Amino acid sequence: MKNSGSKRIFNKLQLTMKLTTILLLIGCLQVSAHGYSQRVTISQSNAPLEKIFSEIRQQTGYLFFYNVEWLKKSKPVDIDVKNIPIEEALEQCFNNQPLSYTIVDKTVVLKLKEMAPTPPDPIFIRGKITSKSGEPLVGVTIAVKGASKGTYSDTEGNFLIRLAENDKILVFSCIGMKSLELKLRGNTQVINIIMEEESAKLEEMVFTGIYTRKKDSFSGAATSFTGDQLKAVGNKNVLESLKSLDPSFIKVENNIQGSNPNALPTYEIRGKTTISTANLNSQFNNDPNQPLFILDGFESTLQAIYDLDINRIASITLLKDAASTALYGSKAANGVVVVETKRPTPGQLRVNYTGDFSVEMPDLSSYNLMNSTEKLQYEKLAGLYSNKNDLQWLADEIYSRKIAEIQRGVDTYWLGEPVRTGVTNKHSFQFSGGNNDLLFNAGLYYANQVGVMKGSGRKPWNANINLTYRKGKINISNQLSISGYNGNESPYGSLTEFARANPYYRKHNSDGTISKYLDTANNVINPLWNASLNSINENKGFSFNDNIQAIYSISNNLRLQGGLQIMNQNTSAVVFSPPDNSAFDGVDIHQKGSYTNNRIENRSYSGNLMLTYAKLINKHQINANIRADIGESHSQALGFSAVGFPYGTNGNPIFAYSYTPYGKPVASTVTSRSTGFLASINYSYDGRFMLDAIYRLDGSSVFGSNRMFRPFASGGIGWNIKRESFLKRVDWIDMLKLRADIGMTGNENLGQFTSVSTYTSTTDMNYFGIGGLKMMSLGNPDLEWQKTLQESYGIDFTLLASRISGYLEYYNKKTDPLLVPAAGTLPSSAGVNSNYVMNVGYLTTKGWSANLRLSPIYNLQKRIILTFSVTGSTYNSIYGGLGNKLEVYNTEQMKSNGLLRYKDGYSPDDVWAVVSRGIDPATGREIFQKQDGTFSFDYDTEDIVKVGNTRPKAEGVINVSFTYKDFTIGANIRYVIGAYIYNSALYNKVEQITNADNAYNHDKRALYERWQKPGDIAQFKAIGSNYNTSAMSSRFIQKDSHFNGESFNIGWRVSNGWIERFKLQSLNINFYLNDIFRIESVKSERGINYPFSRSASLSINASF
Amino acid sequence: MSRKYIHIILLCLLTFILGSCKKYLEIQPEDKYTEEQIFSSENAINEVLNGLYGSLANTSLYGAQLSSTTIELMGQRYNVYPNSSSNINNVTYPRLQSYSYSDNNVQKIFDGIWTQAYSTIIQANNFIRNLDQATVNGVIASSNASLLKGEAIGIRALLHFDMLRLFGPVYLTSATSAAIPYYTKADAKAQPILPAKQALDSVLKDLSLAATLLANDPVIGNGITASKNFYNGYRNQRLNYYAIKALQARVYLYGGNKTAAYDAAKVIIEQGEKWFPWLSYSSIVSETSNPDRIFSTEVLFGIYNSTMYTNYTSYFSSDLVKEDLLTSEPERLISTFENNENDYRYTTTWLSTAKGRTLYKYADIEDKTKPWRFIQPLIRKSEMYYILAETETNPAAALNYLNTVRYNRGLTPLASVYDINEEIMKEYQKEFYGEGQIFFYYKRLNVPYIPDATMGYSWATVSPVYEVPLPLSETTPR
Repeated sequence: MKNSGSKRIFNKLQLTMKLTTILLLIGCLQVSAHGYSQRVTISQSNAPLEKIFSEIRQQTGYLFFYNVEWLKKSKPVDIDVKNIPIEEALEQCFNNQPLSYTIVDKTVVLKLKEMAPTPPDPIFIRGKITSKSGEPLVGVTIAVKGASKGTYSDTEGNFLIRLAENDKILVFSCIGMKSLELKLRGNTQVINIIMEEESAKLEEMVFTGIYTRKKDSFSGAATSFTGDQLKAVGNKNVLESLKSLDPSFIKVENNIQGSNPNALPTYEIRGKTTISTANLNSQFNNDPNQPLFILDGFESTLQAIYDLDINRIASITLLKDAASTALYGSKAANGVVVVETKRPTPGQLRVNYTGDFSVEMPDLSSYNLMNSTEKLQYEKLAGLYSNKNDLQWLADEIYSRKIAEIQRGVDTYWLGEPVRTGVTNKHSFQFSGGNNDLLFNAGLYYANQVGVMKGSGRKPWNANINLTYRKGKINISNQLSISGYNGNESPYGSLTEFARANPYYRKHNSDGTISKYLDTANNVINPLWNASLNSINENKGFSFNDNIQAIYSISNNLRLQGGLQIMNQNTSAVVFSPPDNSAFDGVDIHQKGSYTNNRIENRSYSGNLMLTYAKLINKHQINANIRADIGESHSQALGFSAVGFPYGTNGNPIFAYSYTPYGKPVASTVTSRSTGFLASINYSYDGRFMLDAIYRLDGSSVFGSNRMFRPFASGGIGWNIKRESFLKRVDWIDMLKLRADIGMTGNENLGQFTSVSTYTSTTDMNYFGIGGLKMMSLGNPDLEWQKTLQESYGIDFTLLASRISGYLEYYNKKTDPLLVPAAGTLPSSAGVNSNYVMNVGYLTTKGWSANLRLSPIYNLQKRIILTFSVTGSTYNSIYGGLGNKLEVYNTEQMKSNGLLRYKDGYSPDDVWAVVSRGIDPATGREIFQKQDGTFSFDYDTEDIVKVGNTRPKAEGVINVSFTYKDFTIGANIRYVIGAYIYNSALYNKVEQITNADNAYNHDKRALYERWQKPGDIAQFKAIGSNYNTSAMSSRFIQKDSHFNGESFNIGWRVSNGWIERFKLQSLNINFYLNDIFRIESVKSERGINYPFSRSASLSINASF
Repeated sequence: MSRKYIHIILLCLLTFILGSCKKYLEIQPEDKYTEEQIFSSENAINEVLNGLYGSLANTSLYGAQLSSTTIELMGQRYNVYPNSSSNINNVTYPRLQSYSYSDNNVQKIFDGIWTQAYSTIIQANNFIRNLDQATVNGVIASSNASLLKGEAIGIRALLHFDMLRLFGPVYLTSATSAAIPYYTKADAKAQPILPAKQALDSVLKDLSLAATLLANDPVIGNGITASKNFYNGYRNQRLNYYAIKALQARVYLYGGNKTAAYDAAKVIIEQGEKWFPWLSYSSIVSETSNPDRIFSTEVLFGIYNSTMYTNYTSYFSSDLVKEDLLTSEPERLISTFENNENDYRYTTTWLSTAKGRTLYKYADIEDKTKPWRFIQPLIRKSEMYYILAETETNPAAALNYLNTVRYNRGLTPLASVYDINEEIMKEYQKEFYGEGQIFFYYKRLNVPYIPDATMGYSWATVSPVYEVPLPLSETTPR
């Protein structure tokens, strides 16, 4: 191995690092400059060896290590070569020399051929210490390990140290730089050291998006993952991988949209902080429980992160507790996801290509639908063909027609029609290179995600270029990114239509054409009909983003930095339904066919200025920041709709007959501005005690005039017990840290509510003018903003030489007061509508999360590692202080058979229904349990009690990974235990099948598991009984536990050997299986409008 | 650079930013107007008041529900067919006529009326508060401001009174029972539900305040002018001084104070009658293309109802299927108009169609420029005559008031009557078809049996349930 020589000069600690990190470090620790060719042209005669060396160094950047004394013994050299590899040139030069050489990572180390007598002491070692950017490092401590002597580097970065004979190891250390131990060998006298900035070792750092802290000295609960870790889980998207790695980052499963690539998933960190149900938050802009996303230091969107090329990710950090989230003050109540993309690294031009290919298969296994024979049997039992009196002959005829079809073998599996196997491919190119002054990296990304429903897909793309210029004390970097996407929804519409179609109908006519009706007598629409038309449902986006950042190092301790971001994003959505769509049956001819077009343009800018101070005074280490930021975002929406299209049009609105009658254009313009001031300090004493404090003052136009500024603050403390003297000798503990923090954050996702009343124009007219002004919302100058106070406690540990590690966290969040629309909390006569928001009650959330890693085999030298890990989280939220203020919502829920209630002492996730004691075997009627415990046949809303909680008792991921040399195998299995779910399939497709619903296909259990005659012990009532009952009882709420095979992967990485022949630096091949199995205790339909999918994918990554 | 200087510069910079950012954060929304913007311009202030009249014309209020549909169904005006299902309104027709107040759809309708009324009230209150401030600030002259304020207070009183009439108890028997809350402030704080008596007193208090503010109403000197000037044009489409007085008369009578009702009505007849002349024969009977079926000259207050003709096509047009059509049982119509084909209100308003005689009151006219084309009558002069007839102690004088109206409707005068109140009731039944007054008339007098709409026989009656329960959106959060 070419690198093996230089590797040996590193100390043991560095040897233990993962291969990836080693490679990173090698890039940084090279003793000289880069970017030169590896071939040399020399023409010298009778030249001293020294001269040849300097020639070679100039041409290639190779350095020479030798004892000057030795050269005196060397012979002059004659050489005349043109463009030959350096190795050959050296071979010529050393041909007759008393010296031999070895090449160690661009350094030529000379040796005397015969053993030279060891020179006697004293030995002086001198050298120059620079940073990666070539800046001389001042004040670096150079110490001799095991001895008390040491020195500092001067203002030029030079040092000189005198060593004794048995001094073997030098330790270089400096604040902000990674300490370095250097083993001395032979008679080296000049050593040039490049120290690496601490941030380079990603796992040990906490990126807050505002500043970077060393994990050791940080008291908050933040977890970081590198791009490689994310990539090891899967190649789908960043957030999918993240959810497998961190237990507190939870994806809220979208049972309606399944695996639709165009449906943005919902994520939560540490549970909800606000009331979130459709009827309460429909007016709010965003999901009020959505975390804040920060991309490269600036606020971003879920959409942008969802479409981000996973290969560009350097790291992702989750900020969960107040100590870290308070940095983002008013926006951070739901936690923060900080994404850092790869920054340019110096060196030769590197090209990295990643190709991802995946195959997605629809998972329809949760459907349990009747076949044609079963369905007809069900219909017969439901009485569709009996007791028709005068019309009995007609019913008989219909029945015989259906039975004839079945006997002819018609049994259509409709669910199989709209789905397909999707083959997705993604291509990502990354380029990076540059010299010490000017560095760049660039990327190109294109993905063609093909959904499992026919015609659905998404094509995101991105092009970005990052430039970094650094000279002396200034470092300027610019990141430019242009990206876009094009998404298409399936023309097949919703899967529900296909799940409902009866299997005894044929999908095609005998000639293969698709007819509009499956049954012309009853106008049963063929679900394939609308799919066969040229409908359009697409959305497109284009965005431009530029970040510029400048850092000026005022001194070693003080740094000034500023950043500016401008962003422009356009999205448009077009939906066209052709006039032949069955939705227009019975519609006036001038209004058949519809077209809508909505466009949104967002423009924003934001800027910040920060002063950072870092200093180590004896045992006191201080990091402090003050920062100011400012931003504006402007968003404009415009949309219109048109109707009336001739048959056969392509959906161009030019063919429309008119705008939608009485329709108005949709338009909105929203501008919001914010400013913020931040002061934060991180103090650590002797590495044992640490303290973090943050104060943030947030000003926002969202708050309205009376309360423009709001302060947020947090404080945290940590204690690194391992550093205490009483634990220093305990070998089996590597690290043990306790931390606690408390702080306040806010939530801006709730929308804009002003303290002043606002008016809008109306379109009513009269003699005094068109329209008048109408109050839209009454101002509420006394509105208290929703604040979340969070306490967190945690313990981090690493034991037995990193064989066991993990953390345990407990948190307690209190959001007080909640914001609730007044409509519903105030009597309607108060006259305020849902735009008027009031402070009502509070919500507390308490939870645990834990992570434990265990490596029974842990041999880093040989790279054989077996690791088991388990993550887990659980939380519970409870309302308080609501009184009966939300009774209106409770009544509404009760009337509509809703399962949610807003009651003090209960959780937003609780489900409410009347307790059912099953079906009475004698009568077939349902037995309800009354409040007092007695049983009754009568359903009474008074008896509704809490019957369960939809939040799992525990949820997490079990991970096994095994590394053997260049191979890695991993498995992530998600477990969800003890969540109560409302099984809508049982309610809608097994039992409460109304007369009208009989026309659709249903779950097999509707036929087989229902009560038939006295004595039957069944879970469901008899067929055809109680059409009108809509009693929501606990029978339909089931306890669900499941295991999901979230990710399996096999990876192979080659970084030397045969691949060099192909000019490759490394080659990674990964194979993944995602969501391939699901074992669950409840049989419910999953993926209502769009199926879930299982996927298998292959990822190839090559570096040149 | 010395570190000290850097610190000082940074500190200055931060202070500068802090100082200027309050201004930076104060941005005006672009798709709506803030209160400050509006109440700094007289034109905008006018538009806010105009918006209040627009709210009154909402279908949930006087645009339909409180004029021609819901409230008339409760007064047993239309013969409706059960089991109609073409739209949700029509499903509720029979349930409204049978006073099924616990029905979900019926509840929705009353909830809509209630919510719209109180949302208009809070807007009026917010307008009044800001108008006062704008007057102090000199944005609007105080003479103009007092007109606007008087009207806004009038709107508040009108709505509260109709909520009291609809949702309150039968005042005659239960004046002390809980009725409605009364709002005079826009502060989003729930007010207690007042007994009917107190609510009525609050209405009267507001009305006398409005009358004072409108003491210099241009209508007093100039009457109705077809001018678009916001302060003196089309006063009959605004709550003018006489409309306020008329409303006073109506409210006093509802509260049983006959003397005060008489006095208020008298003011209008004595001072204002000249501005509200009886409709001429030529404008209604002999006019074929543009008959003035709403008797516009006699309207003391009506609102511009821009949905009047779309309402006509969806409720009254003979093109509708019978389940959707609001029309009267022919026999009932004959008995209401006492077989009198000469009655202007009958011949011109109930025209024969394929579906029998249907209500043409709100059908469009040929000349689209008639200034009264969109007037939804809410208070008319004839009601003042009826009030005078009812409150006059001298029987001859009382009969004279009644005969005046009869004369102007093409009917012969009554020589003498057995019971004048009987005749007044008949008049109410004829005069206010589709105008939302008859149910309240019955309710005021607590009439136990009223003519049944579904059967034409004169003896067929139903017993109304006068008190509509407050909507759940009102009672549940209390």
